[in-house]
Amino acid sequence: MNETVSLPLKITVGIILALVVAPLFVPVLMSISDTPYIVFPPQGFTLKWYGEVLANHEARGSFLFSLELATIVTVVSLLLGVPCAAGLTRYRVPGQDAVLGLILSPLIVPLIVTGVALLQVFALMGWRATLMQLVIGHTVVCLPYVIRSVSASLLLVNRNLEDAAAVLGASPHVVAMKVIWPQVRPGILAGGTFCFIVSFDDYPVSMWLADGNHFPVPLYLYTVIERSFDPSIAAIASLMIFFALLLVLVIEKVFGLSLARLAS
Amino acid sequence: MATTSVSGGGEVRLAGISRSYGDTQVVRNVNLTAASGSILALLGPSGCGKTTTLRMVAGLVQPSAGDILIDGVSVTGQPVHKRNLGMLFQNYALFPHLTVLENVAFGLAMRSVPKGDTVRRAKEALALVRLSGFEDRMPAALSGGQQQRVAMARAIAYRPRVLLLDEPFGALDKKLREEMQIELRQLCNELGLTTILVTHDQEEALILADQIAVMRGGRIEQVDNARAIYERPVSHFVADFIGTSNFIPASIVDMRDGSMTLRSTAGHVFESTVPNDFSIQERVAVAIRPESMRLTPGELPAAANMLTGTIVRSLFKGQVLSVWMKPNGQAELQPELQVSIPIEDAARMSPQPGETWSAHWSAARTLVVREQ
Repeated sequence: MNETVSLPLKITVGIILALVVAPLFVPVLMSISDTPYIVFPPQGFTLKWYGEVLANHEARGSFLFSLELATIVTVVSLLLGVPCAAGLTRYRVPGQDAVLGLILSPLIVPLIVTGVALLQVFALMGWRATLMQLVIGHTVVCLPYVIRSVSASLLLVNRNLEDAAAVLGASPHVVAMKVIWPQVRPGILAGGTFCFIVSFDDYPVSMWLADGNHFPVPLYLYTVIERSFDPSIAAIASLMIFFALLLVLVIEKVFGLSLARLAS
Repeated sequence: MATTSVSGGGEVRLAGISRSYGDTQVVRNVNLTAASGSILALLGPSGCGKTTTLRMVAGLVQPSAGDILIDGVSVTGQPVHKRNLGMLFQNYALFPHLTVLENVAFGLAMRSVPKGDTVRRAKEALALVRLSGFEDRMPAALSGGQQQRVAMARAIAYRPRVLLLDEPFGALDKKLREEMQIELRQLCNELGLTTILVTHDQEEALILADQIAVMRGGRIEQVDNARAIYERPVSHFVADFIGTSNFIPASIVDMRDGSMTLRSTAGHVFESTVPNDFSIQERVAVAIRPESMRLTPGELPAAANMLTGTIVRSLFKGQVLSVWMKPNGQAELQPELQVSIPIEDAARMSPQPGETWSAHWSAARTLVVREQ
């Protein structure tokens, strides 16, 4: 970590950051434009579009629903993903690779296909419970992120430490709490954060499964784009960006060190 | 420091323990006793079952057969965390998320020692390993030797009955390793801890242990004190693993009070007065340490315990000059006979390659060992 970073590396990192981050500034800049339509670069300065969006009943409803959905999905994904990752990394299970492949497959299949497939299954079942169906759909998509990061941190766990703790007098329960948990916590946190953001931003799966009463933000954004083309669209997009940013910052602030350690 | 003085180690007895993984027997019927307060080394090459044996004592591995007793009480069914042992791991296994003090206090905290006592005793243990003042550091900020000391303090802080060491010095450089070995020996003696050490380093075993158990293929090959193991190895394997030896397969031709006569297939005669338990039919070899032999220039008249040959090469090794000699007509000797000349003698006696010299040694230095 103390090594000096070479110039070519700095330049490469700079370019990558510019390509990834720069586009995010576009909607933010457009959202403060004092024009009745979207322009770039922005003309004038106003925050009225934010006011308009926040005052909008539908927008608020969508935002709150997305929060609720992402929270449920994160909890469900962690409840399923952590034991699954533990099982896959710590034990030899027959068909291990097949299970892992199945879980990770939503990352390979286009999301829109996953969404339509789920819709067909639910329709064939004649099942009508939109919230549950959205939770299932999102969990299918989010689970790989949890499994991946939790598995990674479990693989890094030093088994010797568990033996050492046991010899020192720690019961299996204490070993889990005092030795394993501190080592996997960053992985679980990272997985949970990814999961939350992926669910919060999801469009292709929600598109098939949502209805008027369960209408996540990305869908709302899309309908607004179809209806009008004023900077409030950019304001919604900006709010989503700020929210994700805030989430990462809070996690970084609270668990910053451990995340850095996980990344290194 | 009254509280950290002699804790009285327990006597550890392994009664016929075995361990198999599937069809592979890793440990076969091991019987061993570590006397209270003594240091026992399990010595052997990797894969000989020494670590598995140690882990069975710790409770990290269950024996497939046999019993482990501490102070006469069977602990075989007891879970690891109830055995009240201390253990030092190969790579220290310090908890990276805890400070030095928290690491050392871990075992005390597990025993529900009151908080104040825990801190005091953890600090005492740190003082014992000369690490006072490092309480608030994180393990990652310490050198290898310091981490080793923290691990040591952590293992003794709660005064375990028995200390188990799994290749504890493997990661340290030679100089530091020697220092730590001497420190460890002192500490174990001071605390009267019964200690079982696993190592593949014969020198480490010789320095640290009161008793050495040489293991091979899951079995105990020989158990004795360091000196006896070196001076009276029972088998080719032990003589070869501890120190260096020249081996000449031979058969026993005569035994009479305290003396044994042997003959190699090439017809050389050897005499040994080193006590052994071999009977006439057994397959044995004569083993001679390089430092037991003396060299004389030229050919000497045939005699027992004497080989004449051609010098192949010599090598300066610091304290000794090592000389390799190809004995005449001794085809069974592989590769060559190695002789060590103390460096102070090398000045007036330096055999050159191609010259004919005779090597001879006394019957008291002629070891007879079991051939595998």
